[in-house]
Amino acid sequence: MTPADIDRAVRTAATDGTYPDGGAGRFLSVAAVAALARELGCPAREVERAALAAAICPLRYARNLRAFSLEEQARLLGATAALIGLGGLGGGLLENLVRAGVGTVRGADGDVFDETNLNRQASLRNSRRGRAQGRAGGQAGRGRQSVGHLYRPQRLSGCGRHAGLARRGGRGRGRPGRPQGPAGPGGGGPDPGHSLVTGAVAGYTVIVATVMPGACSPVEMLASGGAGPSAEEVLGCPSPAVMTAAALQACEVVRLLAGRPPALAGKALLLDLETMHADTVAFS
Amino acid sequence: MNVTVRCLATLAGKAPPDGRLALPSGATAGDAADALGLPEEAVAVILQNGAPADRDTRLSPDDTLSFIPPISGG
Repeated sequence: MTPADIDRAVRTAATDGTYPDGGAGRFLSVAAVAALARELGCPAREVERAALAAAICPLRYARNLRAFSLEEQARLLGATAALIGLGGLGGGLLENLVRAGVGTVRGADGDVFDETNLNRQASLRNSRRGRAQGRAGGQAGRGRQSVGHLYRPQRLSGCGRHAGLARRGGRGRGRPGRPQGPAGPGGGGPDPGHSLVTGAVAGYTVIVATVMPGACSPVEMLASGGAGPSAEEVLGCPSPAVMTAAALQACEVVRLLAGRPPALAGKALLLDLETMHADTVAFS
Repeated sequence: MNVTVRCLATLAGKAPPDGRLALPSGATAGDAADALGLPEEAVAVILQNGAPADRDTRLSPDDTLSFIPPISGG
Protein backbone atom coordinates (compact mmCIF):
# COMPACT_ATOMS: atom_id res chain seq x y z
CA MET A 1 0.00 0.00 0.00
CA THR A 2 1.63 3.23 -1.11
CA PRO A 3 1.07 6.71 0.33
CA ALA A 4 -0.75 7.53 -2.91
CA ASP A 5 -3.16 4.64 -2.27
CA ILE A 6 -3.86 5.88 1.26
CA ASP A 7 -4.33 9.43 0.00
CA ARG A 8 -6.81 8.28 -2.63
CA ALA A 9 -8.72 6.19 -0.09
CA VAL A 10 -9.08 8.96 2.50
CA ARG A 11 -10.23 11.43 -0.16
CA THR A 12 -12.88 8.98 -1.28
CA ALA A 13 -14.09 8.25 2.27
CA ALA A 14 -14.17 11.90 3.39
CA THR A 15 -17.48 13.73 3.65
CA ASP A 16 -18.42 17.39 3.52
CA GLY A 17 -19.37 19.06 6.76
CA THR A 18 -18.91 22.14 8.91
CA TYR A 19 -16.55 23.00 11.73
CA PRO A 20 -18.10 24.11 15.02
CA ASP A 21 -17.60 27.74 13.95
CA GLY A 22 -19.68 27.13 10.81
CA GLY A 23 -16.76 27.00 8.40
CA ALA A 24 -16.94 24.40 5.64
CA GLY A 25 -14.59 21.43 5.72
CA ARG A 26 -13.97 17.84 4.71
CA PHE A 27 -14.09 15.27 7.48
CA LEU A 28 -13.31 11.63 8.21
CA SER A 29 -15.35 9.85 10.88
CA VAL A 30 -13.87 7.58 13.53
CA ALA A 31 -15.61 4.63 11.89
CA ALA A 32 -14.18 5.54 8.50
CA VAL A 33 -10.66 5.79 9.93
CA ALA A 34 -11.01 2.36 11.52
CA ALA A 35 -12.41 0.83 8.35
CA LEU A 36 -9.64 2.29 6.17
CA ALA A 37 -6.96 1.13 8.63
CA ARG A 38 -8.34 -2.42 8.39
CA GLU A 39 -8.74 -2.27 4.63
CA LEU A 40 -5.33 -0.74 3.98
CA GLY A 41 -3.51 -2.73 6.66
CA CYS A 42 -1.90 0.28 8.30
CA PRO A 43 -2.12 1.98 11.70
CA ALA A 44 -5.12 4.26 12.18
CA ARG A 45 -2.82 7.19 12.84
CA GLU A 46 -1.35 6.77 9.36
CA VAL A 47 -4.85 7.10 7.92
CA GLU A 48 -5.40 10.20 10.01
CA ARG A 49 -2.06 11.70 8.98
CA ALA A 50 -2.89 11.12 5.32
CA ALA A 51 -6.25 12.79 5.85
CA LEU A 52 -4.69 15.82 7.52
CA ALA A 53 -2.13 16.10 4.72
CA ALA A 54 -5.08 16.27 2.30
CA ALA A 55 -6.75 19.02 4.41
CA ILE A 56 -9.31 16.50 5.64
CA CYS A 57 -9.99 16.70 9.36
CA PRO A 58 -10.59 13.47 11.28
CA LEU A 59 -13.77 14.29 13.17
CA ARG A 60 -12.21 13.48 16.52
CA TYR A 61 -9.95 16.53 16.07
CA ALA A 62 -12.60 18.96 14.81
CA ARG A 63 -12.83 20.57 18.24
CA ASN A 64 -9.04 20.91 18.47
CA LEU A 65 -9.20 23.36 15.61
CA ARG A 66 -8.45 26.28 15.59
CA ALA A 67 -6.34 25.58 18.67
CA PHE A 68 -4.14 23.65 16.25
CA SER A 69 -3.90 23.91 12.52
CA LEU A 70 -4.24 20.79 10.38
CA GLU A 71 -0.46 20.84 9.91
CA GLU A 72 0.11 21.00 13.67
CA GLN A 73 -2.42 18.25 14.27
CA ALA A 74 -0.50 16.10 11.79
CA ARG A 75 2.74 16.90 13.66
CA LEU A 76 1.13 15.72 16.91
CA LEU A 77 0.16 12.43 15.30
CA GLY A 78 3.74 11.93 14.20
CA ALA A 79 5.17 12.85 17.60
CA THR A 80 6.33 10.71 20.51
CA ALA A 81 6.12 11.68 24.17
CA ALA A 82 7.86 9.86 27.01
CA LEU A 83 6.20 9.79 30.42
CA ILE A 84 8.05 8.82 33.57
CA GLY A 85 5.35 7.92 36.05
CA LEU A 86 1.72 7.15 35.23
CA GLY A 87 0.14 8.03 38.56
CA GLY A 88 -1.78 11.18 39.42
CA LEU A 89 0.13 13.64 37.26
CA GLY A 90 1.21 11.13 34.63
CA GLY A 91 -2.27 9.65 34.26
CA GLY A 92 -3.81 13.10 33.80
CA LEU A 93 -1.09 14.08 31.37
CA LEU A 94 -1.57 10.83 29.41
CA GLU A 95 -5.31 11.51 29.15
CA ASN A 96 -4.64 14.98 27.73
CA LEU A 97 -1.98 13.81 25.29
CA VAL A 98 -4.18 11.00 24.01
CA ARG A 99 -7.13 13.30 23.47
CA ALA A 100 -4.93 15.94 21.83
CA GLY A 101 -3.86 13.34 19.26
CA VAL A 102 -0.22 12.70 20.17
CA GLY A 103 0.65 9.70 18.04
CA THR A 104 2.93 7.70 20.35
CA VAL A 105 3.23 7.78 24.12
CA ARG A 106 5.89 5.74 25.86
CA GLY A 107 5.35 5.40 29.59
CA ALA A 108 6.94 3.69 32.57
CA ASP A 109 5.81 3.24 36.16
CA GLY A 110 6.94 0.76 38.78
CA ASP A 111 4.11 1.35 41.24
CA VAL A 112 0.83 -0.42 41.76
CA PHE A 113 -2.44 1.28 42.59
CA ASP A 114 -3.64 1.41 46.17
CA GLU A 115 -6.70 2.94 47.76
CA THR A 116 -4.92 6.20 48.59
CA ASN A 117 -4.55 6.85 44.84
CA LEU A 118 -8.33 6.89 44.33
CA ASN A 119 -8.52 10.61 45.15
CA ARG A 120 -6.68 11.69 42.01
CA GLN A 121 -5.65 9.09 39.47
CA ALA A 122 -7.51 9.39 36.20
CA SER A 123 -7.33 5.75 35.14
CA LEU A 124 -8.05 4.26 38.56
CA ARG A 125 -11.16 2.40 39.68
CA ASN A 126 -11.30 0.61 42.99
CA SER A 127 -11.31 -2.72 41.15
CA ARG A 128 -7.81 -1.93 39.88
CA ARG A 129 -6.19 -1.79 43.31
CA GLY A 130 -2.94 -3.70 43.32
CA ARG A 131 -2.55 -3.58 39.56
CA ALA A 132 0.34 -1.90 37.83
CA GLN A 133 -0.24 1.79 37.18
CA GLY A 134 1.41 1.51 33.80
CA ARG A 135 -0.99 -1.19 32.69
CA ALA A 136 -4.00 0.99 33.41
CA GLY A 137 -2.31 3.80 31.52
CA GLY A 138 -1.84 1.44 28.61
CA GLN A 139 -5.53 0.62 28.64
CA ALA A 140 -6.35 4.32 28.57
CA GLY A 141 -4.11 4.76 25.55
CA ARG A 142 -5.58 1.83 23.70
CA GLY A 143 -9.03 3.33 24.14
CA ARG A 144 -7.92 5.80 21.52
CA GLN A 145 -7.30 3.84 18.36
CA SER A 146 -4.74 6.13 16.80
CA VAL A 147 -2.34 6.19 19.72
CA GLY A 148 0.58 3.82 19.87
CA HIS A 149 1.26 3.18 23.55
CA LEU A 150 4.00 1.22 25.21
CA TYR A 151 4.42 0.97 28.95
CA ARG A 152 7.00 -0.63 31.20
CA PRO A 153 5.91 -1.79 34.64
CA GLN A 154 9.21 -0.83 36.20
CA ARG A 155 11.12 1.89 37.90
CA LEU A 156 13.73 3.44 35.66
CA SER A 157 17.18 4.62 36.56
CA GLY A 158 18.45 7.75 34.88
CA CYS A 159 20.18 5.41 32.44
CA GLY A 160 16.99 3.50 31.73
CA ARG A 161 15.10 6.69 31.08
CA HIS A 162 17.55 7.59 28.36
CA ALA A 163 17.69 4.17 26.82
CA GLY A 164 14.05 3.22 26.96
CA LEU A 165 12.13 6.43 26.73
CA ALA A 166 13.79 9.75 26.23
CA ARG A 167 16.01 8.69 23.36
CA ARG A 168 12.99 7.69 21.37
CA GLY A 169 10.62 10.32 22.47
CA GLY A 170 9.98 13.89 23.28
CA ARG A 171 8.67 14.95 26.59
CA GLY A 172 7.57 13.28 29.75
CA ARG A 173 7.32 13.76 33.43
CA GLY A 174 8.87 12.62 36.69
CA ARG A 175 7.82 10.42 39.51
CA PRO A 176 6.08 11.33 42.75
CA GLY A 177 8.56 11.67 45.55
CA ARG A 178 11.26 13.10 43.39
CA PRO A 179 11.47 15.84 40.80
CA GLN A 180 8.43 15.31 38.68
CA GLY A 181 7.87 15.56 35.04
CA PRO A 182 9.40 14.46 31.88
CA ALA A 183 12.35 12.26 31.75
CA GLY A 184 15.85 13.20 32.54
CA PRO A 185 18.87 11.90 34.34
CA GLY A 186 19.36 12.31 38.03
CA GLY A 187 15.70 12.62 38.80
CA GLY A 188 14.44 15.45 36.69
CA GLY A 189 17.52 17.15 35.31
CA PRO A 190 17.80 18.17 31.70
CA ASP A 191 18.18 15.40 29.17
CA PRO A 192 20.62 16.32 26.42
CA GLY A 193 18.63 16.43 23.23
CA HIS A 194 15.16 16.35 24.73
CA SER A 195 13.08 19.01 26.34
CA LEU A 196 11.55 18.25 29.71
CA VAL A 197 8.22 19.44 31.04
CA THR A 198 7.96 18.80 34.73
CA GLY A 199 5.31 19.28 37.38
CA ALA A 200 4.91 18.85 41.11
CA VAL A 201 2.13 19.28 43.65
CA ALA A 202 1.89 19.66 47.41
CA GLY A 203 -1.54 20.48 48.74
CA TYR A 204 -2.88 23.33 46.63
CA THR A 205 0.56 24.48 45.51
CA VAL A 206 1.43 23.60 41.90
CA ILE A 207 4.71 23.94 40.04
CA VAL A 208 5.20 23.42 36.31
CA ALA A 209 8.48 24.08 34.52
CA THR A 210 10.08 23.46 31.14
CA VAL A 211 13.73 22.60 30.73
CA MET A 212 15.13 22.85 27.23
CA PRO A 213 18.02 20.63 26.11
CA GLY A 214 21.22 21.68 27.83
CA ALA A 215 19.52 24.36 29.90
CA CYS A 216 19.62 24.66 33.64
CA SER A 217 16.77 23.06 35.52
CA PRO A 218 14.76 24.72 38.26
CA VAL A 219 13.49 21.28 39.15
CA GLU A 220 16.42 20.26 41.31
CA MET A 221 16.06 23.46 43.30
CA LEU A 222 12.30 23.24 43.67
CA ALA A 223 12.27 19.61 44.68
CA SER A 224 15.34 19.37 46.85
CA GLY A 225 16.39 20.36 50.33
CA GLY A 226 14.62 20.22 53.61
CA ALA A 227 14.41 17.60 56.30
CA GLY A 228 11.60 15.45 57.66
CA PRO A 229 8.41 14.60 55.77
CA SER A 230 8.05 16.14 52.33
CA ALA A 231 5.44 18.82 51.69
CA GLU A 232 3.18 16.44 49.78
CA GLU A 233 3.35 13.91 52.59
CA VAL A 234 2.05 16.58 54.95
CA LEU A 235 -0.45 18.27 52.64
CA GLY A 236 -1.37 15.47 50.26
CA CYS A 237 -2.04 15.68 46.53
CA PRO A 238 -5.68 16.72 46.07
CA SER A 239 -7.26 16.07 42.70
CA PRO A 240 -7.88 19.70 41.65
CA ALA A 241 -4.20 20.53 42.12
CA VAL A 242 -3.01 17.35 40.40
CA MET A 243 -5.37 17.86 37.45
CA THR A 244 -4.32 21.51 37.17
CA ALA A 245 -0.65 20.53 37.05
CA ALA A 246 -1.32 17.79 34.51
CA ALA A 247 -3.34 20.14 32.29
CA LEU A 248 -0.64 22.82 32.41
CA GLN A 249 2.03 20.25 31.59
CA ALA A 250 -0.10 18.97 28.73
CA CYS A 251 -0.49 22.49 27.30
CA GLU A 252 3.27 22.89 27.22
CA VAL A 253 4.02 19.38 25.92
CA VAL A 254 1.48 19.70 23.11
CA ARG A 255 2.87 23.10 22.16
CA LEU A 256 6.34 21.60 21.88
CA LEU A 257 5.19 18.54 19.96
CA ALA A 258 3.20 20.72 17.56
CA GLY A 259 6.37 22.64 16.77
CA ARG A 260 5.59 25.79 18.68
CA PRO A 261 8.07 27.51 20.98
CA PRO A 262 7.71 26.64 24.66
CA ALA A 263 5.91 29.11 26.89
CA LEU A 264 7.91 28.18 29.98
CA ALA A 265 11.45 27.71 28.65
CA GLY A 266 13.79 28.45 31.54
CA LYS A 267 10.85 29.39 33.69
CA ALA A 268 8.64 27.83 36.32
CA LEU A 269 4.98 28.62 36.82
CA LEU A 270 4.05 28.60 40.50
CA LEU A 271 0.38 28.49 41.42
CA ASP A 272 -1.15 28.88 44.85
CA LEU A 273 -4.65 27.53 44.30
CA GLU A 274 -5.65 28.55 47.83
CA THR A 275 -5.34 32.22 46.89
CA MET A 276 -5.43 31.79 43.08
CA HIS A 277 -2.11 33.61 42.87
CA ALA A 278 0.37 32.83 40.08
CA ASP A 279 4.05 33.70 39.63
CA THR A 280 6.18 32.95 36.59
CA VAL A 281 9.78 32.70 37.70
CA ALA A 282 12.77 32.83 35.37
CA PHE A 283 15.76 30.70 36.28
CA SER A 284 19.14 31.34 34.72
CA MET B 1 9.94 49.09 56.02
CA ASN B 2 7.03 46.79 55.15
CA VAL B 3 7.10 43.89 52.73
CA THR B 4 4.41 41.53 51.49
CA VAL B 5 4.97 37.88 52.32
CA ARG B 6 3.61 34.70 50.74
CA CYS B 7 4.31 31.37 52.35
CA LEU B 8 3.30 28.40 50.19
CA ALA B 9 2.32 24.82 50.98
CA THR B 10 3.61 23.64 54.37
CA LEU B 11 4.89 27.13 55.18
CA ALA B 12 1.46 28.75 54.86
CA GLY B 13 0.87 28.74 58.60
CA LYS B 14 3.89 30.99 59.10
CA ALA B 15 2.54 33.84 56.98
CA PRO B 16 1.41 36.97 58.82
CA PRO B 17 -2.41 37.19 58.94
CA ASP B 18 -2.47 40.29 56.75
CA GLY B 19 0.43 39.17 54.57
CA ARG B 20 2.55 42.16 55.63
CA LEU B 21 5.78 42.06 57.60
CA ALA B 22 7.60 45.02 59.17
CA LEU B 23 11.39 44.82 58.97
CA PRO B 24 14.22 47.23 59.74
CA SER B 25 15.72 49.10 56.82
CA GLY B 26 18.43 47.07 55.12
CA ALA B 27 16.92 43.73 56.13
CA THR B 28 17.53 40.65 54.01
CA ALA B 29 15.28 37.80 52.90
CA GLY B 30 16.94 35.70 55.60
CA ASP B 31 15.96 38.27 58.21
CA ALA B 32 12.36 38.01 56.99
CA ALA B 33 12.47 34.21 57.16
CA ASP B 34 13.84 34.38 60.70
CA ALA B 35 11.17 36.87 61.73
CA LEU B 36 8.51 34.49 60.42
CA GLY B 37 10.07 31.50 62.20
CA LEU B 38 10.87 29.68 58.95
CA PRO B 39 13.67 27.16 59.48
CA GLU B 40 16.34 27.53 56.82
CA GLU B 41 16.10 23.86 55.87
CA ALA B 42 12.35 24.14 55.32
CA VAL B 43 12.69 26.64 52.47
CA ALA B 44 13.72 25.45 49.00
CA VAL B 45 13.13 28.63 47.05
CA ILE B 46 12.84 32.31 47.92
CA LEU B 47 11.37 34.71 45.39
CA GLN B 48 11.73 38.48 45.55
CA ASN B 49 9.08 40.08 43.38
CA GLY B 50 8.84 36.84 41.42
CA ALA B 51 12.58 36.49 40.82
CA PRO B 52 14.85 33.94 42.48
CA ALA B 53 16.57 35.27 45.59
CA ASP B 54 18.47 33.90 48.57
CA ARG B 55 18.75 34.61 52.26
CA ASP B 56 21.34 37.34 51.65
CA THR B 57 19.18 39.27 49.19
CA ARG B 58 18.66 42.82 50.41
CA LEU B 59 15.03 43.87 50.55
CA SER B 60 13.37 47.12 49.53
CA PRO B 61 10.15 48.62 50.86
CA ASP B 62 7.02 47.01 49.41
CA ASP B 63 8.88 44.02 48.01
CA THR B 64 6.89 40.81 47.71
CA LEU B 65 8.67 37.80 49.17
CA SER B 66 7.60 34.21 48.50
CA PHE B 67 8.88 31.27 50.53
CA ILE B 68 8.41 27.82 48.98
CA PRO B 69 9.26 24.46 50.55
CA PRO B 70 10.60 21.49 48.59
CA ILE B 71 7.73 20.14 46.47
CA SER B 72 7.76 16.96 44.41
CA GLY B 73 4.39 15.25 44.79
CA GLY B 74 1.88 14.15 42.24
